[in-house]
Amino acid sequence: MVLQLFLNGVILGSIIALGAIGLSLIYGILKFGHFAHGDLMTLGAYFAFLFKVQLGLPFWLAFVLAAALTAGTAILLNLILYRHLKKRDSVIVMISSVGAALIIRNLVLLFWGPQNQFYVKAIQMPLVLGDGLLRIKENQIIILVLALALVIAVHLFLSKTKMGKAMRAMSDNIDLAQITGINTERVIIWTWAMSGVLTAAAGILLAFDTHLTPVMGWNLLLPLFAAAILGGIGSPYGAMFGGLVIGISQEMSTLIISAAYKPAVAFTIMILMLIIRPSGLMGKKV
Amino acid sequence: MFKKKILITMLVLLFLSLTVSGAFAQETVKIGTLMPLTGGLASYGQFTRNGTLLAQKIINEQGGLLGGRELELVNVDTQTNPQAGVDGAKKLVSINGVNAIVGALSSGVTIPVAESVTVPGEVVLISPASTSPVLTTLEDNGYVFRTVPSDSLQGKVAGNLAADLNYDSLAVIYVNNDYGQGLNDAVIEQFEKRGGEVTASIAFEPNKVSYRSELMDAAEENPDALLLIAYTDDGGITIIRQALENGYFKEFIFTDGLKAPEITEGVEQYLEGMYGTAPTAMPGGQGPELFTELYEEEFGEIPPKPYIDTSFDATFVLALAMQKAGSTEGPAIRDALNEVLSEDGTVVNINEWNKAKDLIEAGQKIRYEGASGPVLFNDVGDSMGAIGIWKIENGNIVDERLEVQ
Repeated sequence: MVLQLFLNGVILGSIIALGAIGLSLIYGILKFGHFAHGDLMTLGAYFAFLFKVQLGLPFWLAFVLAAALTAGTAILLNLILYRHLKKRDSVIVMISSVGAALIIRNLVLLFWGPQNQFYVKAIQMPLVLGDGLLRIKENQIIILVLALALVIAVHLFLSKTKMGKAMRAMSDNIDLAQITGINTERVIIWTWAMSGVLTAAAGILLAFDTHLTPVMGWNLLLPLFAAAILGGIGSPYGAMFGGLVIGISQEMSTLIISAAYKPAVAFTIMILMLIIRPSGLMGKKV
Repeated sequence: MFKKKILITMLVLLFLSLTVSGAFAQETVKIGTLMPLTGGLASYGQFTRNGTLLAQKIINEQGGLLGGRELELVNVDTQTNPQAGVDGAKKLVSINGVNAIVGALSSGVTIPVAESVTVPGEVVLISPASTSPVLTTLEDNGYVFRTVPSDSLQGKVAGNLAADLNYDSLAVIYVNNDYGQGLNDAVIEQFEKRGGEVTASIAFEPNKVSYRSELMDAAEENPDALLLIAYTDDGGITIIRQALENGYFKEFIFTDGLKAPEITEGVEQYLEGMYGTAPTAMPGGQGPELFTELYEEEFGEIPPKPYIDTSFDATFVLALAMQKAGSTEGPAIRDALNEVLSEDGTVVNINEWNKAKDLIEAGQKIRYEGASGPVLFNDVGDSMGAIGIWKIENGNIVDERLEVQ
C-alpha cells in the first residue's frame, strides 16, 4: 500500500513538475505569478482532445499539434496582454493573468461543454506486479516515460543551447543579461513557447491518466505554485524537484489523514517553506 | 461638436427605449428558475430547464395566467455551487422581482438559497430534485416545497436493495454536501437494521482528478459492494472508472444522482446488471406518457434522467397556485399551493391548463395528474412519492420496479 501510494505520487508529481517548470521560469524572467497557467494546461488537454477524438488523429500527432498550438496561445497572450502591461506594476500583470485564466476557461466551456470528456472511453485494466503489491496501468507507464523524456529535453535545452543559457541568465539577473547583449524580447518569446509546450504536456498527461474537465487546470494551480515555490521560484530544476515532492507527499498523506484533505497538504508545504526558507530549496537568496 | 451630437442621440434613444417598454409591453408574470448549466449537475440542468420551458409553452398557448398575462421564466445558472446559487437567487428576487422560484436541483444549493434568500424574502421555492431529509425539517414558514420525495425514503429503499441482493457488507462513498450526507445516513440506518455491516463511509470532495486514495480506504476491509452517492460530472464517473481500473470494487449500487447513461460509456461490460435507485413517477394517471410525448415533440428524444418531469410539475403547480391566489405575492402563492391541490379533486392533465383555470374560477379543487404522477404535498411541503429501482442492461438504464411511500 505504501509502495502504491508512492507510485501514485510519482505519477502526479511528474505531471505537476512539468507544469511548474514553466511557471517558475516565467516568474524568474518576467517577475509575475502567471495565474492562467492552470487554464493553459486545460486548453492544451482540450486541443489534444480536438485532434485525437474529434478529428481522429493518432495520439502522438495530437500531442505534438496540441503542444504547438498551446505554445502559440501562450505567445499570443504575451503579445496582446502581458507585453503591454510589463512596464506597470507586476501586480497588474498578475491580475490580468487571472482575467486571461477566466477567458480561457470559459472558451473551453463554450467549445467543449461542461461535461467530462475522455481520450479513450474504455477503461484499462492495470498490470499487477508482486502479488497485488503494485498496480500500474499501461497509460501510467507511458506518462512516466513521456514526462521523463520531456524533463531530459528541458535539461538539455537549458544547459546545452545558447537560448537555454540565455534564459537561465535572464532568470538569474535581467540587467546583467541585457548588458551582455542578450536579446531579451526573443528570450521572453522562447520562454512562453517552452512553458506552453510543457504545460500542454502536463494537461494532456493528466487527462490521459484520468479525464478532461474545464476546471482540471485551475484545480491544479495551487500545487503548481507550491512546487515552484518549494523548489525556489525562478529555478527550473527546483520546480522539477518540488513537483515530485508535492505529488508524493499529497498521496502519502492519505496514510495519516483523510483523503479529502489532500489539497491542503500542498498548501501547508508551501506556507511552511515560505516561513522557513522563502528562497526555496534551490533558489538564490532573496 | 460631433461628440455632443452622439451624446444627445444616445440620450434620445435611451429615453425612447424607456417610454416604449413602459407604454407598450404588457406586464408578464415571472417565475425564476435555478438550474445548473455548469458544474456537477450540468448533465441534468439543460433537460430540467426544458421541463420548465415546456410548462411555460403549454400555459402561454392556452391564454396565459392571471387574466391573460404571459408567463415568463428567468433562469440563473447555479453552477451546482451554493455561493453561485445564492447570488443567483438574490438576483432573481431583487432585480427580476420574482416571488416564486423553481429550483435548485442540488440540496446543497437549495438549502442555503432557502435559508438566506427565499424564506426571509417571502418567496415560494419549489425544488424539483432536492431530496435531502434536511429539507423536511427546515424552518421555512411554509415557503419551501418540493415535487420529489425525501431521501429518508430513497435511503430506505437503497438499504433494502443492498440487503435483498445478499450483500453482507457495504462501503459507502458520498459527495460531501447535504444530499450526500442525508442519503448516506438513511442508507446506513436501513442496511444495519437488516443485519448488514457498513465497513466504511467516506465523504469525497467534488471535482478532483483522482479518487484513488478514497477508493483504497473504502476497499480496505473487502466489502461486498460499493454504494456510491454522487453526481455524474463532478466525481461520480471518475470514481466508477477508477474503482474498476484498479480493481477496488466489482459490485455497485447507485443512487439518483448517477441515473444517467453517461456512467456506462466505455465500461458497459463491467456495469452490466448493477442496480440503482431514484425517485420516480407515482403510479396513477397518464401524466408520464403524455409528458414524454409532448417533450419529444418539442425537444427531441427524452433522456432517461430523473427530474425533468418534476421540473415541469413544479412550474405548472406554481402557475396553478398563482392563478388560485389571483396574485403574484409570495404569501398568497404559498397559501394557495396548500389549498388548490387535493387527492379527490377534479382530474387535470398536464396539457389542460384551460380546464384548470375554469375549475379554479368555479372554486373547485384540482387533482393534478402531473408528469411525475399525481402531485400532492404533505404538511411539510414534501411531495408524496415513489422510489424506482433501475438496472443497467446492455449499457442502457432500464426501470425495474417501484416502491411507494
